[in-house]
Amino acid sequence: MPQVPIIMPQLGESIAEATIVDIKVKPGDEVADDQEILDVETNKAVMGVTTPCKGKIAQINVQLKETYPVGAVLGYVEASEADAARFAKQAPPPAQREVAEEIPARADQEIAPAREKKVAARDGDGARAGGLPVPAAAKGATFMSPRVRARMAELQLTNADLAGIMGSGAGNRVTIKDLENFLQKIENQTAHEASAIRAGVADAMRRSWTRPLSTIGSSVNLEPVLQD
Amino acid sequence: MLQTAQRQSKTKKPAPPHERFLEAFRWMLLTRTLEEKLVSLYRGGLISGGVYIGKGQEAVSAACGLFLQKGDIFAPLIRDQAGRSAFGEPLLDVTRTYLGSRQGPMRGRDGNIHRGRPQDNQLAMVSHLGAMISVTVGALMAKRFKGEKDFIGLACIGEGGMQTGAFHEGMNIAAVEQVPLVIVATNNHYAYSTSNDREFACQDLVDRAIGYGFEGYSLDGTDLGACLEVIGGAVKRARAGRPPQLVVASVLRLSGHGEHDDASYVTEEIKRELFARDCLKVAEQTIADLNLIDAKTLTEWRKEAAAKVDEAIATAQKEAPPEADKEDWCAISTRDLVDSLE
Amino acid sequence: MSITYLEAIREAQAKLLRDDERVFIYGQDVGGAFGGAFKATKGLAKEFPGRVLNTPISEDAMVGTAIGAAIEGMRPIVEMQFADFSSIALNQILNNAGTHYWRTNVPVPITVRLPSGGTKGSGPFHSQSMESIYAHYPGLIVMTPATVEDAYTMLIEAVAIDDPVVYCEHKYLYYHLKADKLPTEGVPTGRARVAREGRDLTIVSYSAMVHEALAVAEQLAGEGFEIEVVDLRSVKPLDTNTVLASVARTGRLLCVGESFPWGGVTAEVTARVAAEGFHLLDAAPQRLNAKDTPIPYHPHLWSAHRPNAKEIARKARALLRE
Repeated sequence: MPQVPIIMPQLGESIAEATIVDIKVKPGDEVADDQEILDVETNKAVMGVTTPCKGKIAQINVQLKETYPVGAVLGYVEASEADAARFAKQAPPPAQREVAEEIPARADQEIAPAREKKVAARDGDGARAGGLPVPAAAKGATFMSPRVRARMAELQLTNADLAGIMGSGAGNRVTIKDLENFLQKIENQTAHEASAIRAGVADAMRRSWTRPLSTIGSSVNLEPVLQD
Repeated sequence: MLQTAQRQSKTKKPAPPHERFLEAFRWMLLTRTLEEKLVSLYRGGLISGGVYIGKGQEAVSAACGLFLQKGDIFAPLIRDQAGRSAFGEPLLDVTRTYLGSRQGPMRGRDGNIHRGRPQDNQLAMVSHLGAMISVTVGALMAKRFKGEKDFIGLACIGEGGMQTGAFHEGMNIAAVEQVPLVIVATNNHYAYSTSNDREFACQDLVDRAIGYGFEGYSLDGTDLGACLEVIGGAVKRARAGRPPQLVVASVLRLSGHGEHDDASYVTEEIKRELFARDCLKVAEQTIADLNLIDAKTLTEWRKEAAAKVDEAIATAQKEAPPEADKEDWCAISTRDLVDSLE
Repeated sequence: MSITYLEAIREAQAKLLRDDERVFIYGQDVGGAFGGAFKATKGLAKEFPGRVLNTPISEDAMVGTAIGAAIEGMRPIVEMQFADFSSIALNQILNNAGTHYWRTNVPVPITVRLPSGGTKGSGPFHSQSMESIYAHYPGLIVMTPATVEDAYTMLIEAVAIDDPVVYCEHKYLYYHLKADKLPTEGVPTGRARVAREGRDLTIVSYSAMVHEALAVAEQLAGEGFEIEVVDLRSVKPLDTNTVLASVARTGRLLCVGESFPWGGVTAEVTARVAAEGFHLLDAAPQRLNAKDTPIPYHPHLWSAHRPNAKEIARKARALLRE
C-alpha cells in the first residue's frame, strides 16, 4: 500500500519550526482524514498536526520535545491508492530495497535503506571527536536558494518580507520564480498616495517589528510623594 | 644548436677505420667521464629523481650516433648518452636537465633521460618502452611524404623494452611501411632485476627479425670495432633501401638499473661471461695493442673530457631553477583553446 | 539535397586532403575501395592515392606513427574503428601526444577520430563514449559535434589546430542526422551553442544527447515549461561562460551525458556551476548519465542503460518541482 507523508505544516507567518509536545498515535493505529495526531508548540501557541488522509499510521519519525522545521516529514500514513494519488509527491515505501529511480523531491527524504545503514554505521559508534551535529530531517529540510538570497540582498528584503509569499517549491519553499512573481504583482498593483496618518501608522508598525518588545512592571509607592 | 663538426657530413669521404674507431672512443670516454660525475652528484644529493647511466653500452651507443647524419632521426633511450653526444647533443643539455636549470631543453618540466630536441631530430622519449619505435616510423614516413631523400631512422631499445606490445606494434608497422629504420637492441641481460630467462623464451632475440620482415644481425657489444662494423653496415643497408634492420648487441649492464639500485641480484656467474667485459677497457686495450695513440695523448684526452664535463656542470649549477609562479601552466600551444579552469 | 553527419565527415576529409598536402588518413580499413567500416573515407583512397592508408590492427603504433609524422610536419588523421579500441592507444594519446608540447615546446598536430556512442546491439566494446577520459588528461582538445554542420567544420578545424585533437563522432548520428547543406564557415571550438532558448531549466549536453534533450524540451513545452538546451560542442575546452549565462537565465541545471556516471563531463559542468554560479542556482544542480555498468548488448537493456528522452524528462520534471 502506498504511503503518504505527514508534513510539518506552515504554522504561521515567519514560523520556521515547531517542537513536538504530544504524540497521540502509534504505528498501526487506524486514523481518519484530518484527525489530530500530534501537538506541536511554536513560539506563539500549541497547535495540532492532522493526518493528510484516512488510513493506518505506518511510521512516526519524531520524538517528544524535539524540534523539526516546517516542511519536514514527521511520519507516514499508509493510505489507499486513490488517496495517495491526490498527493503530488510520494516517497517509496521504506521496505523497498532498490534505490529510488528518480531523485525524490525535497519533502520526501527516503534514501535506500542499505545506503542509510552504511551512513549510520559510519557515525554510529560515536567514537569520533568533534564534528557538527547533523539535524534530524536534514535531507528533507526546506531551503532558501542562493539565487533567492542574492535577489533579496539586492532588494534589501528580509525573511519577514517573504512571509507573505506562497512557496511553490518542494516543502513549500519560496523559489526564485515565486519571489519574482510576487514582486511583479506588487509592481502591478496601483499605488495610492498614502495619507499622513497612513504613512505614520505604517512607519510605527515597521518600527515596532524591529524593536525588541518587553514590558517591565515595577510597582512604585507614591504615598510619600502624595503626602502633603 | 647541435654540434655538427664531429658528425659525418654527406659529402665527406668516410674516414679510415682507425679514425672512426678513435672518434667513437672519444665519445665513449666523454660519456663515461660525464656519467661518473653524474653518479657522484647523485650520491651527493644534488640531483632530484633518478640517474640512469649506460655503463657497458658506450660502444654500441657511440656507434649509433656516429653513423647518423643531418636529417636522420635518432630515438635514443635511457642508456644512450654516448649516442646522444655523438649525434650532437650539447653537454649542457645533460647537465642542465639533471641539475634542474630552467634553461635546460625541458625547462624542468621533465627530467633526466626524457630530454630530446625533436626539432633537431632527436626524439624525446616517454617512459613507456617501445612507444618510440612507431614515432620514429612516423617521422620517417613524413620525410618520405615530403620527398626527402637519403635519410634513415635509428631507434634504441633494450631486451626488456622489446617485450612490450608497443614494441611489437612498432616493429611490425615499420616493416609494413618499409621505412629505412635501424633498431639497435642492446641485451644487457637484466631488465631492472629480471634476468633474460624471465624476459623472453626464444633462442636468440635476433631470430625475431625474420618474423617481422626485418634483416637481423648479432653483435658483441663489448667490441667497439664490431659495433662500428655491424651498426655501420646496418645503417648503410637502410640508406640503400633494404628492409628495416634489427641489430641485437650483447653486453652486461655494468651499473644498477638506476643509481638507486645496487644491482646485488646480478650473479657472479654472469659477471664472468665474455659479454660482461667493459667495452671501454676493451677499446683501450685495442688502442694499446694496435698502438693507435700514445699514452700522453690518451691522458690528454681524459683531461679534456674531464674539463668539458666540469665546465658543463659548473655552468648548469650557477643557473636558476624554474619558478612555479612564473610558469604559464599551459599544456597546449593554442592559447585560445585553454580550458577555463581556476 | 541533403547530407548526413557521416557524409559531412567524409566531405571534410576530402576537403582537407585536397587543400593541404600535409594531411593523410591512417586507420584500419580506411583505404582501397572499402573506405572504412562506416564509409567515412569512401572514395578518398582513389581520389588521393597514397594518402589514405590501411594499417595493421595496431592502435598504439597507429597513433605513435601519427605523432612522429606530426613532429616532422604532417597533419595526420587517425581513424579508430571504434572509440572503444582507442584504449590500446591510450598511452600514445595521453602520455606521448598529450605531454609532448609541454615537455619539448614542439606541438603535435594529430587528429584522432573516435566513432563513439551506442547503437542497437553494439554491446560493451563497440558503444563507448570516451570523451571524459581524454578531457581529463592535460594537453588534448576534445570535440563532440552534435550537428551535421559542426561535424564538418569542427573536423576541418581539428586538423588546423596545432595541438592533438580527439574528435568524438557519434555513430548513431551518422545516418540519422541530416542537414540541407554544409556551411562555409563554422563557430570555433570552445564555444557552446544555445540549441533552444528557454526560461525554466537549462539542460546542458553534447553529442547525441543534445537531440534527446531537444525532444524533451518539445515535450515539456506542451506542459508549460520552457527548457533551454545548451550544446557544449567541445568538452575540452568547456565553455563555462555560456553555461553560466544560461543558468543565470533559468536558475536550474540538468547536465546530461552518455558516458559512465562516475566523474566525467556532467560532473565537470555541475562542479563548475556549483562553484562559480552558486548564486545563480535556485535548486541543486543535477546530472544524468548512463548506468555504472558496461554497456549491454540486448536492445531492451541497451536502451535502458543510456539516458533517453523519457528519463531526461523525468529528471527535468523532478528538478522543476524542487
